[in-house]
Amino acid sequence: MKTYVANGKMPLTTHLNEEKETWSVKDKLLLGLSTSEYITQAIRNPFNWVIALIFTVGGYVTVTRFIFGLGYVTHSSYDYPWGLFLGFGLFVMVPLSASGFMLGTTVEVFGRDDFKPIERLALLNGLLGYLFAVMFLQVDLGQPWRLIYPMFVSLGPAAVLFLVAWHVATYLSVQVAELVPAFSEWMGMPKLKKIYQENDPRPDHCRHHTLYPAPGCPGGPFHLCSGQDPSPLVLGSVPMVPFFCFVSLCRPMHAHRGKHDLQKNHGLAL
Amino acid sequence: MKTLNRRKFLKGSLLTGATASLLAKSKSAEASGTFGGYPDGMGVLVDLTRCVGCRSCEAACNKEQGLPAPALPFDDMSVLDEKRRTSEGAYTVVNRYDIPGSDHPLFRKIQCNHCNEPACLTSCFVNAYTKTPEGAVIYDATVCVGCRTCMIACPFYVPAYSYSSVLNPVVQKCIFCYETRLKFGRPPACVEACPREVLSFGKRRELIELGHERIRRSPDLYEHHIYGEKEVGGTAWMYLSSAPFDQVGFDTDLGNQPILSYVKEFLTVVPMVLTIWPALFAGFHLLATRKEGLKKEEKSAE
Repeated sequence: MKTYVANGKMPLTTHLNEEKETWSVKDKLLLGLSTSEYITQAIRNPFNWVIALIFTVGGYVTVTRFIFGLGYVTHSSYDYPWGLFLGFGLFVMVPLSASGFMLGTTVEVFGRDDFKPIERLALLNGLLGYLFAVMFLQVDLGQPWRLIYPMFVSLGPAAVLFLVAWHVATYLSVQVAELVPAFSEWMGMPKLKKIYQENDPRPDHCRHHTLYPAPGCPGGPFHLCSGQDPSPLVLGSVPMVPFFCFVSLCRPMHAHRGKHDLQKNHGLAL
Repeated sequence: MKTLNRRKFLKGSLLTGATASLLAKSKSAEASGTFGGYPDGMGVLVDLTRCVGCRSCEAACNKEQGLPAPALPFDDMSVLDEKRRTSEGAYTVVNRYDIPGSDHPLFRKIQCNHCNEPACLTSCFVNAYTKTPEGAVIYDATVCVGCRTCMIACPFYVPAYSYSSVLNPVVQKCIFCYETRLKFGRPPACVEACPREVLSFGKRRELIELGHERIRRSPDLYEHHIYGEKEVGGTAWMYLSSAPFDQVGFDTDLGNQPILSYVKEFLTVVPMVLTIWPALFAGFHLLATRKEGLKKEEKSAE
């Protein structure tokens, strides 16, 4: 930020530029910098080098999977059809969406408006995490162009994965809906935001919290249906899964309570 | 005072929720029961004491299903030196097992066991699998998305996947020669090809009687158990053996419950969660934002 300020770049809070025109999409994407300035600042950050490496490997894997087949990019076998490739996608991407879920609950359900300034950031992070998890799944699927089959073509409702598929589709839609206000502001489309606000977003948030635990839950059942010696611990915990999810949902509320009590009893300003 | 009330309310709702989930679960779990297979489903009884490992069944299957020719011909017995499994090029394989304390090995034919309540079928989210009344578990490649959950779910490690195919990778496994034979009441190709009558084709319930009859007649020869009669809810292909089943490569820890029963309880809780939670969280929201509402009302009154 200091470097930006030294170069005469300041944060803006206006929708119009110096000529009283709306900012172009290029301005918005490149944060008001010229292309070369943008690239320079991107290269300056060593974290971006790591990201670039991941993108390179990921891009190569994605492209070659559709040229040479799944066998070329995964080490999955007949005995182990789900491998590290799928595991990486799921376990790295899905937890990212926890941010949106946590902040969404805190602000919208439990009314903690003091967290509102970072809610959108968390929601965007959540959407991207989930979206990329889905894209990862797509690369690992044998025939990804048939992804809508469990929704509309051939339904297998007894399957745990059926639940997961419907959950992911619905939850992703809710995440997109939640970001409509932010998107409409960014694009300068106030009408879109108005339409969204007139249709109260709150039911969305309720659905949000009902749905979120679903992807985590099948972990147990998947283990169970894998035909391998289910441990009594896992077996015993399955009926408790909704309860655990409920407890995790109440986490923001507990945080609120703790802070409230501390302030009241000890006069602490947190 | 308000804080106390809210806390009480939360505790109460937690307890009620937990109780409701337990009640709902036990009731529906009892009601659902198990399927147990079609009454007139066909099956095959494999008698390992008769098998000499000639691989005729493998050759017949390869021809019937139009599979690619294997790297080594079917009369090459060196393949028996290693343990093989079913693959995209072989829907059935024969393995050799050296039995401790016995002067001769046992040979075991592996293929899809065509479960009464197949784990592949119940784990498939596009319903690609069908258990036909004739007893076969068949697969519809035209709807398969390629998630490979069936391979994870199968307790016998049977389904294979054509990983090498770019545009049309599919699951491949024995389909009991359903399209070409079973549908017309004929035994599968491997059964017809067996020169030693290792494989007996017939109605599953009659085969169970046949198996028990053989055990009764030669109690010293056979293990007193038909593998597949009860395992994972029963399978259409069943086995008789002279050696303990775990020495012939069978998984003897699978239990008698169909694989589906392990997830039934979990799945029955889902509708309850979807029904109760929106109301519960709407309630939380109203409670959490109640003060603000009151403040606004006070302000407007002023």
